[in-house]
Amino acid sequence: MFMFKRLKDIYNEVLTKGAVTEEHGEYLKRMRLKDFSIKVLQLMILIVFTVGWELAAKYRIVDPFITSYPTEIMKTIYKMALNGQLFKHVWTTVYETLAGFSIGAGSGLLIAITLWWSDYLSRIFEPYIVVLNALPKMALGPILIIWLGNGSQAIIGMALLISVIVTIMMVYNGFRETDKNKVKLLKTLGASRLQIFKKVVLPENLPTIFAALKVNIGLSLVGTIVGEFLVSQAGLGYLIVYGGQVFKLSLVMTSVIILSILAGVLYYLIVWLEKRVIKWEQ
Amino acid sequence: MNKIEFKEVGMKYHTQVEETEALRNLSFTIKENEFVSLVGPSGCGKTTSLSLLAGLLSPSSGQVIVDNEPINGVNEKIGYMLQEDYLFPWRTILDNVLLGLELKGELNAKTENKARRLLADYGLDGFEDYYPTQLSGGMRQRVALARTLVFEPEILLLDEPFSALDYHTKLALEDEVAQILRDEKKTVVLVTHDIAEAIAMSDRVLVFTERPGKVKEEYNIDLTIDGKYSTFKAREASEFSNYFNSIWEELDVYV
Repeated sequence: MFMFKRLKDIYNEVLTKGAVTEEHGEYLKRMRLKDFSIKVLQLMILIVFTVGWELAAKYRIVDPFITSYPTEIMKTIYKMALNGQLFKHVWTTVYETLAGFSIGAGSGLLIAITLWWSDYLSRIFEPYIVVLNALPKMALGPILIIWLGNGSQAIIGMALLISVIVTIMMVYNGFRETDKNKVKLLKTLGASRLQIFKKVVLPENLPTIFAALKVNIGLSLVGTIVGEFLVSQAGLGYLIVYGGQVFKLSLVMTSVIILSILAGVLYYLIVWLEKRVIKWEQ
Repeated sequence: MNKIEFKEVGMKYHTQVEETEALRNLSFTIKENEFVSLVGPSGCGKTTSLSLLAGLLSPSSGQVIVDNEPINGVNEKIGYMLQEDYLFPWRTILDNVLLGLELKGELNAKTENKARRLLADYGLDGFEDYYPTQLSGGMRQRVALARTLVFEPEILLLDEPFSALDYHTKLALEDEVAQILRDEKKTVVLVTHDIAEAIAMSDRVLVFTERPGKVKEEYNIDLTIDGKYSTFKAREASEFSNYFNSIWEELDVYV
């Protein structure tokens, strides 16, 4: 009985930590319990799905040959980790994605700055950018392979191509919609165009730039996987295509799951970076 | 001595579909250390006049003269306060105040100290490292005033600087700003829709006509005030309502 009371005290203490008044404590408790229940349910969905999949395969509700199952996937990951295959393929995909993403984001940003700098240039190039944006970039795959060879370079090219146009459009539009009165204020202070860019346009658009980066990290991953589908000797895209061709569904599923984890990690990397750069309240 | 002179200034704006004539033959002068308000119907070219003075626009005809020289390019002698504070949310309060100094390449230990002193004078000491979102509207507009005054402009352009504030803050800040600017002996041009504000704050009120704008009437404001000047006392002066009624009638035609 005493133990139970002690536990209850600790439970209340943790949930009302930092409370200013008793009422505030109740509020904090409600909020924290809600947050906690969300986390628990998120985890539950994952567990139920995994266990359900395993049992369904075990009792032949689904055909394990075409669906594979979690323990088989774990075994595959373990085996691949031991013989170094896991690291090799994951690294290939990460490297190609990050290379395409950085070059795409960097050049997209530079082009957006150029277009903002010269209204004349932006009007000249507008229709070309619109068409390039609407064009499915995968259609350029074969051309990339012929030009850049059937290796990493063509894949990086694909990742770059798929992310660069979106960067240009998102960032340029953000630049153009910079608060006119803030620009006016800087002009009255005698600011040059470079100063206007550095002091207002860039800082005001940091949130837009990060939004573009968040979209593009995903798009670069799409470009990389598509590129690896078309031509490659390594990478998760290669594993998926290869596994499909030889009907090793556990290999395909393993790659897809690693890919999901990778996509999440890359996305939260950008979120982490954003928090470090943007310190003010929006 | 004339600090500012508008000499038959005309201003036309062009767009694809039309031409708008904002000002036609606008002429007036403002003496050094004078506080002048421009009132008039919406779109009569008051803000255009300020932009011309700031050198953000060039007149289509006529001349805008400051210290006996026509303005050419951005006028370095002016400080401009807009309707809202336009503080940069990514900069701390102190960094916002230092903006003008930074752009003009005048940022050093001495000017930074001056910025801190100004903030303290306006009751904002201790807030230097806060971000603008953490401050109230009145405090933010005071920061904007510090940002404008820290590089010591000779002429101050105020474009409805209190219009975005609630009534209480507006009255209090009006008084504060009027006192500060009188003490600092600045030449001030205030654009406002608030007739009472114009009378309480200025030495002279210019009433503009409808677009294309020019000066229709001008009033030298001479109020009997006991003791130290304040906008509250100005509003209580016996002449106040006469001025208010005359200016109101001038403007009434256009409502």
